[in-house]
Amino acid sequence: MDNYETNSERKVQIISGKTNQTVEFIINDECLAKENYECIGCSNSDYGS
Amino acid sequence: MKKFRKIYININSICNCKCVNCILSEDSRKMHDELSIDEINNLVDSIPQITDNQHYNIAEVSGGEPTLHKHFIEIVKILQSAKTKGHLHKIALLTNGLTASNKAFCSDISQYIDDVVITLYDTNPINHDWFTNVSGSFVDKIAAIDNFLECGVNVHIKLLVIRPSYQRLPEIAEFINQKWGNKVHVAINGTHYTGDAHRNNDVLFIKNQNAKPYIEKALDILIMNKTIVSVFFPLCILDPIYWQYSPRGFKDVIDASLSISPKYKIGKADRLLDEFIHRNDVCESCLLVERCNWPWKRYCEILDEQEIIEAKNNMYKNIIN
Ligand code: SF4
Repeated sequence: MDNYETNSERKVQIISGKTNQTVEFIINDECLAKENYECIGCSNSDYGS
Repeated sequence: MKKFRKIYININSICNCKCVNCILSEDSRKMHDELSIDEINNLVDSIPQITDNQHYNIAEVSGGEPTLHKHFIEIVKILQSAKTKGHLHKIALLTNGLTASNKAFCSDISQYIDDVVITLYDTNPINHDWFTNVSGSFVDKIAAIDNFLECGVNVHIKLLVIRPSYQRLPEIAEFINQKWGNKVHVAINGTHYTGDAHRNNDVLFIKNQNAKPYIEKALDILIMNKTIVSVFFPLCILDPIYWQYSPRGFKDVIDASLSISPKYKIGKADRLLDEFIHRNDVCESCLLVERCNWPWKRYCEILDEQEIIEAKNNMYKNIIN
């Protein structure tokens, strides 16, 4: 996490089996929910069940 | 720019549900461990000394069922005062929702918390209450979510990928859309097979591959409704169009976090990594390692690594660059 913002984008291009189209995915990007919810609610951050 | 750090505050072990999938064992729930008000005061006072200025501190209060702590309101007031002093950025509560089905209680505690996380097992009341072993818990949970929303608290609904209800994930997603529009955040999570969840894994365990179509369908339904979603699942199992909804890897979040509990008092949260994560060479050598959350430790103990090896191989075949 610490060096995250200074890192350059690491991307992967992969074919989606669902759409047959190429998806470009930024590996070191943030999840879409983070902007609104700051990592609350996901198991990776809440270890309760 | 500052980043987020979690401070997990586990205040008690008792609970008013007996969920078949609880990550604690029945024995540890019976131990009645809890932090006293003095301990909480001292631990919260020590936060500024042991944290840095690079992070916002998000407190997550959990248990057991934290609202059953006899000093719960005082505890959240202490946290609120730490927030006023700038030592905490947000206060989140992990609850089963039963106590907050009472409107007056919910409104009292909502003054002191920003976010609440509630797990919904099913939207069929009988199926739901089978999980909790408490009749009426579904109705209470729904009332609690309504109450929290009315009080202006951010609501996070956690859905579990678990055998008795995984095929109903799309219906559960429809229910959430109809009931709350896109006013809630929905996170779909793999199950931790620890504690009672491990003891009951013969009825709870489901292979990731079998759950995949239902998870993806549920995500489609929620995304179509513009609901904010997250999915916490091994990425090689999911189609790449869903990867953008995966939070950053568990390890990164935990590395920066602290944990406060009756047993451990205050310390780095990284001991949780060994409890939950299946460290393995398949994932260590994967190009998604830093973003993916990997399979849970107990999942691989139950099933072995073969599923992940195959999923990773299939994923690599589709990579073009
Ligand atoms: S191989 Fe491991 S790190 Fe790679 S996508 Fe699968 S679960 Fe994630």
